[in-house]
Amino acid sequence: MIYQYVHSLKKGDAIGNEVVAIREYLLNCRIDNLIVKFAPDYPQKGTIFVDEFEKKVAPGDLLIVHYAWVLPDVIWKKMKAFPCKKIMIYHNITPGEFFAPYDKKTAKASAAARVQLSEGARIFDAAWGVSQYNADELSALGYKNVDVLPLLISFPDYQKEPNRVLMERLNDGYTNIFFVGRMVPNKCFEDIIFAFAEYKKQYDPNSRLILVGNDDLKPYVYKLQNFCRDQNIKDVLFRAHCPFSDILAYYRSADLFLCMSEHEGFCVPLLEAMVFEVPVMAYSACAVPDTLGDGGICFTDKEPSKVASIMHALLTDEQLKTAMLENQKKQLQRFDPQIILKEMLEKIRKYQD
Amino acid sequence: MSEEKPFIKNAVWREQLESIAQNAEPSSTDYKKLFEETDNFGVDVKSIMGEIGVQPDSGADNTETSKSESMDTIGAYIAHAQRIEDIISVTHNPPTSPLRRTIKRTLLKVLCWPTRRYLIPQVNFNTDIVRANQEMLVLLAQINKSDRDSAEEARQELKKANQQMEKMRERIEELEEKIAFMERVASESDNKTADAAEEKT
Repeated sequence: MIYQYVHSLKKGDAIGNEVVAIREYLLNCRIDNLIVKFAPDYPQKGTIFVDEFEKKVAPGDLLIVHYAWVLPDVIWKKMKAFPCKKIMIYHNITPGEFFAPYDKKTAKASAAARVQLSEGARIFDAAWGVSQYNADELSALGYKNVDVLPLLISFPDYQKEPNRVLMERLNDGYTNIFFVGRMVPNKCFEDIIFAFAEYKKQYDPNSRLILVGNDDLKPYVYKLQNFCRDQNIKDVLFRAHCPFSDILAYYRSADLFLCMSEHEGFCVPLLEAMVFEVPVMAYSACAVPDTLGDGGICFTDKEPSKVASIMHALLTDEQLKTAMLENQKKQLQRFDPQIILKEMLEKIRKYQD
Repeated sequence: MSEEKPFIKNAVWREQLESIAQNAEPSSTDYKKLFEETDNFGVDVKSIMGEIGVQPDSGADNTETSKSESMDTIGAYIAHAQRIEDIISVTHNPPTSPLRRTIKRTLLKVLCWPTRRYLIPQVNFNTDIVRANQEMLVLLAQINKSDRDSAEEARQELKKANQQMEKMRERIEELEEKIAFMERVASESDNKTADAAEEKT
């Protein structure tokens, strides 16, 4: 039996999607598997809670732990004692220093997660990073049998029906610059706003910046919004907790995807933008260059005028855009879920008795 | 001697784009400094709206906030202001000269240090209200603008409708004239036929 542990199974969440995709693939290969979760969340077939798992787990089983944030002590302390082989899939942890000015509690939790991660080297039989960057972190911490297993992307979801009304409103002749991601400091939303302000001022007054993502970290979000108001930066649209059909509409209406994040373990939205054939520009940090490849422009300096000049070049040069879209197709092939799942199964078999 | 780091990381795009980035005029605005100086204060309007039972803003575009959404938002701000009105009364100062106020504040700060513990949160609450008021003014301005725009649109529509009515009136008059002419011709023709019949008999 293969178990996948995920702290909280969230619908539409990148990790949640991966857990469900692995479960379905294993079932298709006629391999019994269950999802173990700690927190009650949306109902999903084949899930059990930790206490039931503790009763069921046997020495011949395999436990895959999706690690992305600090696990409760009650689970972590038992981890070593579970009598089966254990593999970690590491999605990365945002360093606490990004949160410290806005949310001390999250910063503390991040530090605790880093401590757990370093202890994990003695617990897990193998560890797979979803990117080379993550795998390098695991190797540096002394994990054994480190490998790369790219994140599984649920590509068919992107073919769903977008919000047509919203698309009509956005297709009003304005240039739409887009970014989606949790509104947290490591994603550097402020740098996107700086570059946009410069682009709007120097090149295209009829442009709009669309920022979509969870806005739970209120002090940071207020600071971003207050900044736009105080500096009179117009046409910056903040949207939080919007339905998937709206996200699809934003992608379909976007002229450029701009990412300024300084910490990413993988960065799914880069690939999402490629699916929608949106030209991508991203700051070179952590796993970003690896995920982006040559499917977008990766830059090394955040000087707003330099970023704005490249935005302008990309938005006006059709040949450059066409060449980029060609490269995006090639890059997307690297993340074909069927190939990744097949690789994963081969890796799993090494640890199954 | 250290070489300058290229701006474009991917070799495939560097040749075409590096010079564009390097030739860009440095920005005249120090965005980073301005951002650092920006406060992170805000009123969580959506949660207050939820508490007082109005629908949070569902607008897909913040530049097109509708009148009803703005009114709901204002309602939430009023609820928020009412909630902290007790604090306002505590810190309220009757109108007096700025010098007296400054002396009073300085004395309070220096001599009554325990009072400062209470003043600081009160000052924060007042900032809260000032910000809420500013937001309300912006929203009211938006509503007024939207009203003005709507009135102008209605005036234009009315003008167009009047013009169309005028044209239609002219057309009706033309048609009436034509009908009258044709009736006259018909009656003349009837008369002629009747005369001819009479002559025959």
